Amino acid sequence: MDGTLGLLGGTAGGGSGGGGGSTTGSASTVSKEDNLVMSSEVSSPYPDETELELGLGLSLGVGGGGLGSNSKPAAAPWGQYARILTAKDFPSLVSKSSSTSSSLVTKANSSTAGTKRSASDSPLNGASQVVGWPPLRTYRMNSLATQAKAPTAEDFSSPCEENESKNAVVDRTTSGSKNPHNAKEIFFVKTSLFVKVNMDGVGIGRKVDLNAHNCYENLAETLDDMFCRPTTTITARRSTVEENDVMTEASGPSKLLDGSSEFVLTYEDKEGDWMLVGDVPWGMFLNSVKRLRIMRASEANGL
Amino acid sequence: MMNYFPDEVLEHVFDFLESHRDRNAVSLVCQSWYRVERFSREKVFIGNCYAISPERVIARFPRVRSLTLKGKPHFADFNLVPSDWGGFVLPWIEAMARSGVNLEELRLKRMVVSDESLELLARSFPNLRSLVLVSCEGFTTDGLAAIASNCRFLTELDLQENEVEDRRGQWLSCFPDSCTSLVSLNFACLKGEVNLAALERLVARNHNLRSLRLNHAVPLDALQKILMQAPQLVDLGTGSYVHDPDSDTYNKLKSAVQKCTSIRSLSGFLDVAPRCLPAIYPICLNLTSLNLSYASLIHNSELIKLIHHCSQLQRLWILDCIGDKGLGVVASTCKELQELRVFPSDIHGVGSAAVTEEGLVAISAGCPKLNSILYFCQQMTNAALITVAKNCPNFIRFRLCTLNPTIPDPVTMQPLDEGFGAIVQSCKGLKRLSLSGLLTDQVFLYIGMYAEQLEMLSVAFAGDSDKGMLYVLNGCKKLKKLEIRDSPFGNVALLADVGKYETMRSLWMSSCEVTLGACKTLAKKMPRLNVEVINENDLIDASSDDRQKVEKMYLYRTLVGPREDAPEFVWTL
Repeated sequence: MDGTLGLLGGTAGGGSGGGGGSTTGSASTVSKEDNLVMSSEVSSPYPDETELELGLGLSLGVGGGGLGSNSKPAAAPWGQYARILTAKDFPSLVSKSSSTSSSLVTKANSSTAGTKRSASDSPLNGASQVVGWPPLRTYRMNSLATQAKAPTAEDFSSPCEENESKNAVVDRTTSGSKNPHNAKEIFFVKTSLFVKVNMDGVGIGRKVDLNAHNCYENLAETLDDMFCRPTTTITARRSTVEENDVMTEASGPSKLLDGSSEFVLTYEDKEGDWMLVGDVPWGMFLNSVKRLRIMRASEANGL
Repeated sequence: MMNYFPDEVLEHVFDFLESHRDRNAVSLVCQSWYRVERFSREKVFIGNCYAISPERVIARFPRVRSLTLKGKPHFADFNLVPSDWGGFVLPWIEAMARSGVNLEELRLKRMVVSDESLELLARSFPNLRSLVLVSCEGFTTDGLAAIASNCRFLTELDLQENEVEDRRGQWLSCFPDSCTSLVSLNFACLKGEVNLAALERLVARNHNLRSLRLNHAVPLDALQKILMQAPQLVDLGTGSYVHDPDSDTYNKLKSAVQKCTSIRSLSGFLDVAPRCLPAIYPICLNLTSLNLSYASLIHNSELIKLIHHCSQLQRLWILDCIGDKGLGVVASTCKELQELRVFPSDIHGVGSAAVTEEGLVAISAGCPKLNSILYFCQQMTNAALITVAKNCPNFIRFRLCTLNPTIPDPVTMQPLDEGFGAIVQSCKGLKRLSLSGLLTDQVFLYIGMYAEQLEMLSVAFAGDSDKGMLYVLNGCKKLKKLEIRDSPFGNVALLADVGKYETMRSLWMSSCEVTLGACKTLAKKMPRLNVEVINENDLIDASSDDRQKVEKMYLYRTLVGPREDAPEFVWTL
């Protein structure tokens, strides 16, 4: 099935057999909000791909939101997370995301003839790109999204608590933004959980959407991309609220989570304490995090 | 003959009519029956809140005590309807308050419920007994606090799958000490914490409590204490079901559970420690309803062990991680099964967890009483559907959802037309059908031909041409709701029989081939339809090109003309 068709408009319904111009003014299931959300830059060179990437980021998670999907996560320095769940713990997810992500991107670039989705499309990819498919209620989607599948089934492990309270119905009912849900979701309905991220020695901070990630590994990768390996496209995609200043500071905090770099990733919790990221289950972290700080290890006393 | 009976007798006879459809029917017989019926109707069901105005409902049924309202179109559940589309309950509550209606029950589905509405509700109707909110949004726990504080005779507060903002107040503590009338309390969908001590006290003093569904924030030790206070429960939804199975608390839970011999329905398990499951085995034998569809952390093997105990199940909601083999166990164990729902646990569709046609066939073979199914699966074959149709001719609801919406039969690579055709042909009582998989116009031909009782049809990514939709509109005489997305049906189909839509509640078409001009034509011909065009991207106005395709169209019959609360992006033609 051709993923873009689902995203960009339903005229692929196909009866028109791809009659010219059938996409104009067509029902687009991606609302204007999508474009606003994605970034403040006006023109992305690959609009189709960008929208897909957004979907990737939100729904696949492990691929690393956005650009990360094309780079094999395992090959990156993120291979080792000694402290927390490592890439090895998610071998299936990692490989799956790589394969799905590449095929998703392929589809983005392939010609989207108005014909019906062909039977030969891999059944694996079809599901994850269409708004409102599979047809599940918001509530259920959120539940599934926030229940982390812990790699080890410990009796006590209390998996991700609901973090929805932060996202709140407020988003849905504010009159200001239209369609906050349709805007962000290809798939999951959860709204964003943007928190500030500051890095020692870098004057300008960033913001990261914690809800676009489903584990520490992804988050660390995103932060790595943000602060250490900036490219224009990444910052262009990533930045939503902050300005698009390219982070030139790249002194190599590449292993934020396993304690092997000169920086550590910390967060301020609800009680105002600064804590090391990675100790508690992801969901619990989401519930208590207020902001992040990439701190020089030398300053992180006793850690 | 009946005309010579005094009104009281007629009223007494009408009392025996349970369903609103029957009451609607008798009200059409003659003027006096209409009159008697309207003054005696206490339960009013409004399937589309915009089909009629609150004032007119109250005028016709002044003695209304129980009101059921549905708001947004069904596809709103899947994010296809912008959140400010409408469906506000406030005007209804205001109208009833003004008119002095003695409201005792309010049931809402897919409506926008504000805290203001809840507060007004609580203040205006001292006799309110029952509030049921399903798939609603717009309120916070402050609104619930108002209900708890003011409704002195509350028996039922049932919140199902709503989006509720948690204000971290103590809404549950707002139930006064004098509240002892609760029969049903369901707050499973709330995300925040509740005061556990208040909860325990509440349960302790409400001896009539039959149904209690806790939320995720209520831990297992609290559950244990609650069960000690409420062994009479019939329906239980656990909160967080995680504890050390070697602990004292867990042992206490086991003995508490053993005393709960009335439990017939079980749900919850959002957080679950599988090793704690054995505590509930004693009640499994009596269970008629089991909902494990949020329990993604129970492993396949534990699930199967659990199912082995549940031989009386009539309703089972489960995740697809049970697998085809697990469904085989269900089939051989649960001979009384009537309703099965299998939900996806891994929505990306790449997991190996999903079920296939095998599971469905096994269920159909093992469970002769099956009449309702919702099945999310990786794939489906025509052969399987044909077998299922033969095994289970009693389906009333048949909803199939392939994770890839246009997947063909993987064995033959054919569309699933024949399979669904067999279903509609065999299941003569089928009222609700949802299709998925690769489908051509042929399936609609079958539906039009055979699905004589069909009331609701959901179509996605199906069909080749207008003929498909026409088959359905022409053939399904009892059709009430038709919802279509991403299918190539256009103006010809839409306009072929405009009168049909007045016999239906509503029609939804999104991402189809319908143009603005056709919608305008339809609206002009049928003044008693509201034809709403929803265009979030480009605001539709008078200057838009008629040839422009309409992104989303929702039309419904109404007696009160265009609604006044439509947002900017909704244009009623």
